[in-house]
Amino acid sequence: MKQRLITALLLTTISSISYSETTQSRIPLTLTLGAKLHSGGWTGENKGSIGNDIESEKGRGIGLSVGLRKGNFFGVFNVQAGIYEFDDEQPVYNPDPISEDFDLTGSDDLTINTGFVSLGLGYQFNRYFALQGGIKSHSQAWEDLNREVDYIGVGIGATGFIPLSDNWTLYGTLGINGMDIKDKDGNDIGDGSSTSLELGAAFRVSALSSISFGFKNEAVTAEFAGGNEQEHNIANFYFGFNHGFRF
Amino acid sequence: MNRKLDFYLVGANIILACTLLFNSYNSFAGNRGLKIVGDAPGQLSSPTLSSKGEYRALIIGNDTYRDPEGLWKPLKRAVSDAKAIETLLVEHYGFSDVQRLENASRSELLHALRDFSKRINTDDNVLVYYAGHGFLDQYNNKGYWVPVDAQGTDHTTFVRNSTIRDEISDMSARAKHTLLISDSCFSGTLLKTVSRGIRANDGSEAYLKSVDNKKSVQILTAGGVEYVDDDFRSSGHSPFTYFLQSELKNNPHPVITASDLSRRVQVAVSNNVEQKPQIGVLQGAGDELGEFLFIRVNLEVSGVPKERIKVKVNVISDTSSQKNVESSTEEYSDISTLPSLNLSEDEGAANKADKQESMILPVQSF
Repeated sequence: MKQRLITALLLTTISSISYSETTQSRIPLTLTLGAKLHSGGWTGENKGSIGNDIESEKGRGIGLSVGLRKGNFFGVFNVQAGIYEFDDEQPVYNPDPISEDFDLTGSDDLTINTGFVSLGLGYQFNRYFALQGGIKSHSQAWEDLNREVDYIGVGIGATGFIPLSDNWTLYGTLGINGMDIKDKDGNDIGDGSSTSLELGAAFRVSALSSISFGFKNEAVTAEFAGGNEQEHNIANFYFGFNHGFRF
Repeated sequence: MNRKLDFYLVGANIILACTLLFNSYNSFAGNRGLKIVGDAPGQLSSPTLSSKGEYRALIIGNDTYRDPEGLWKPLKRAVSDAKAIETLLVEHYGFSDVQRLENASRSELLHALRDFSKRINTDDNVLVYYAGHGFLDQYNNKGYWVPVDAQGTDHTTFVRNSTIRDEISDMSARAKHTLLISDSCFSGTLLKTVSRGIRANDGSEAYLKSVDNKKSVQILTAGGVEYVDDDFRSSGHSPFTYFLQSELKNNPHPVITASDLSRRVQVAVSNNVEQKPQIGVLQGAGDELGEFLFIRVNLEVSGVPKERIKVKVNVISDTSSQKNVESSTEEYSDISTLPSLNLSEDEGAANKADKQESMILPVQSF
């Protein structure tokens, strides 16, 4: 179901923009490809019966993005994968929606692999402000434990740009998402929400290329069916390269 | 499960709403019209017709828009369109005074029109070509050319159609034949106050002499009150200029009138993209139902000695205030010996313009 929907949306996005290419005015189609490396940490809290903190300072990952822009309309596709290593302050797993208890890993060391995927369409109102909306998913997989939690939902984001000069631009994005939480078998195990905040700067290195660096925080709140709650703050600094193709 | 389904449905609806908005915008942008299929132009049998005055052209192509509000994105084909038209006019139609202006600001554009106008003499044949953004102010339905330094929807930074018409009218006061070709969005608004129609051409030499003797002030636009495409199947040109160029280049006749040319271009463009070029005359500018004549200079016609084919490329008197103006000073008796024109560009200006293109920013996620 999820794969079909995402495939359909991806095709819709591409076909919409491709369609516009055949009828639009003298406005170029811009394809932007981006890649970034990030490093950061994960904090939070296992609420309820366990009530302990979550903390990892050993996080790293990579992100890839594709953007299509035609005039003021744009489509975005982002994929990000990360690895976070925990010592004793670990996110616990909720194995049973009916249970009130979290499941401790029973291990001193834990690695969680994360993934973020978002697909959206947006409109840039002027040089300074853009809005976008679409689907977003966030997964947490407990390495070696065959445990996985997926957050899937819809969201909107507002982005602001502050051009400092011909070569420098500051930007920031605030996103809000409402999500369902599912286990690895696709069973509904709770509701969640997330707020993302990204602040960064981009520097033009050529007419069609830029480098960017900044900070992004993803605050995720989970309320499991059994009543347990979790809070996650996944924060990363990143460095990226972006290249555009105009058609 | 229902809640999950709701999330999917809401998400799908958002995306579909955006898509519909997107497509409806483009449906509006590609304002449809019926195709007009005209008769084939008459056969022009005589190569002996020649115009008395000089053939002059002002060619403007705007690509590197630097709108601080980001509304006017850079174009890719307008400058190459302008270059192609210039080459064609010089090499195939013996235009002797050709001034090309790339990436013109409002001030440069207005100065170029005025300076060009001052060079025009009686009996000259004058062509003005513009490729770039156009704008329609829906508040008052007025059309504009958009210079590269335009700012958002601030109409005071545009060049109003009435100003263009005034300048063309000034040119036509001295010239014998004047033709304005505009390859921009909403260029059809230039024709809103003029009569339209294509004059009947029986293809005879008498007809050509008749329309050559009468004054003309004609306008050919890439479309009506609609958006026009910037690129045609990766040809490197807009569809309008692609077919304009094609018709001029492949024209087998020694003489083709502006009306015949426009009819061919109109059919070709309409058959391939959803825009319809328009032809008309500038009202109140002295049009006497004459015709701008394109006379080939490198046409191989049996029985016509090459000595009769001459192309002059004149010095443009004042280039100091204009950028990317091309000129040559020599006279050639045979177009085939015409060397490549100096296509040097003002590198500083080009680099600056390049810098001012919209910056590639990272893709944002929500």
